[in-house]
Amino acid sequence: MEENILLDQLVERYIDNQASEKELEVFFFLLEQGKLDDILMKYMDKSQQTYITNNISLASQKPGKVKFIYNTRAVAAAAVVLVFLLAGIFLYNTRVLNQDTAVKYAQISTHNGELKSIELSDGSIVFLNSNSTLKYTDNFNGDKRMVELLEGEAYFDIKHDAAKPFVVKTGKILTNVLGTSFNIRSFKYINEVKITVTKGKVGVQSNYTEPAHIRQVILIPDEQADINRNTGSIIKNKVKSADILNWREGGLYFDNENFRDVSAILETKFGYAIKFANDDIPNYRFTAGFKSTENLIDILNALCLANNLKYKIANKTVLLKIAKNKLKPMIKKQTNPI
Amino acid sequence: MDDLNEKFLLTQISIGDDAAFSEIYAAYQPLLYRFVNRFLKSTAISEEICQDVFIKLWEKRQNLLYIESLKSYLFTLAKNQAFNLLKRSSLDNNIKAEILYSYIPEENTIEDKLHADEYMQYIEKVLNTLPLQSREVFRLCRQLGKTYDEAANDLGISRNGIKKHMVRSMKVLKYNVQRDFGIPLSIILAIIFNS
Repeated sequence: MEENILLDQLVERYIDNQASEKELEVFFFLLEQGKLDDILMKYMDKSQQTYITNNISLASQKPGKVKFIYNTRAVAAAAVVLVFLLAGIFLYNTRVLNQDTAVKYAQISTHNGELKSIELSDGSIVFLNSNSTLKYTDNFNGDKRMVELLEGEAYFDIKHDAAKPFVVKTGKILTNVLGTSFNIRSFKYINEVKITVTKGKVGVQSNYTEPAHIRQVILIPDEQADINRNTGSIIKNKVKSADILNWREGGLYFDNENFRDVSAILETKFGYAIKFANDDIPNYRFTAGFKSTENLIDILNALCLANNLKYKIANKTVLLKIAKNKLKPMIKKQTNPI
Repeated sequence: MDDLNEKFLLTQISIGDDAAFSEIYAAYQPLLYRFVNRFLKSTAISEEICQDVFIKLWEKRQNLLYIESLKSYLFTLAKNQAFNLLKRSSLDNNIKAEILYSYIPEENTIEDKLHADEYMQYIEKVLNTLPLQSREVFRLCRQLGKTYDEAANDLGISRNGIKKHMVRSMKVLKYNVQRDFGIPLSIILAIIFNS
């Protein structure tokens, strides 16, 4: 038998509590020699995998159970420990027991056509657009105020607190402010995350692949950061922030956005599926603002007029296709209904 | 703990929220303990290793935003710590004594008899190559475990207390230093009291 198989057996028997006195002696000797390192690591890796994939869990674990430690040996040590324990018990009582150790957080979501506003515990206000989800804690424990825009679009009006910066996490993108107003749009179905500032100064950071790989921009009012969700690259644009906030009155605003994104927004807002008859159409771009009173037909009309398209509606599905008329140049000229 | 919750708690820990830390601790400490105890045998040492893992987690909290799986991260930390400790035990007689004392072989006489002769011969062979001094140290380590029992008897306290003290005495200073370097006392206490 090869030595490795014997060593393997020794390690296995050690782990399974089957090693005799002699085997233990040999085990520790060979361990010191470094002969068991690879085998031991192999068993540890295997065990680790079992724990991670098999989802082993202990059902009856009650967190927060107090257990005293008898710490002795020398009187001096005992005295030190006693002081430590007393301080500990005091702090434990005041800091841990009196406060529920579980972090309380709230998650708020909006569905189609619904808008909500939330007042956070620090007095900041968040306006949530339709089909959006925000997660936040009931108190801002820690050295930063952090919320997470899990999905969708929100406008933040943040109370100034220089000691506790406010951070909005959007996937791998962090928006850092002290006290300003800004808008974040981050729908899953749109590849670009857009952050627009209306007041104050905002730092935007995208962290991709590694902590070392961080991109950062500072935005001032009427500036927008377009962040590519896949790569984390940030492009800074000038915009009219008032237009961007159109959604708060139930309106829509598209700023040179491609049809793929435009149709995704329309789909969620109006509940119609939008399909393209021609593969080029998703790459068309569109700039227009709409009031809340304008319906899907108004928007489709503008969309088609601006790009020489036709649409058909059947079974809650809109089909867009290229219009084959020769007036194309003329129509293009008089469009852009903004 | 579902993924979304965990991601959120990690985010909170990364900005220094110790309540979120406690929640993660409560969720994972028992699992990690069971994992490392398979290899380390001693309750006191296994608990110590788990505490080290969580202290590391807290120290590295700034990086938590970038962790793909907290579970893998914690288990990898625990694995490495446990491995290092076991390696150290082959040189540190105090630790070796503690492991040996905690090692309770399962009664398995039938299997022992069936055990391949070749394996047993190999064990004997290695034993015979051991320097006398080394064998003496092993016996001393065995003895040391019993000494703890006697000390415990003399002092009228539990053996477990002695064990904990032995491992912990090496760490108390470390804790103080770590506290001075910005670990909230409450976290250390949460760890100690939960252990």
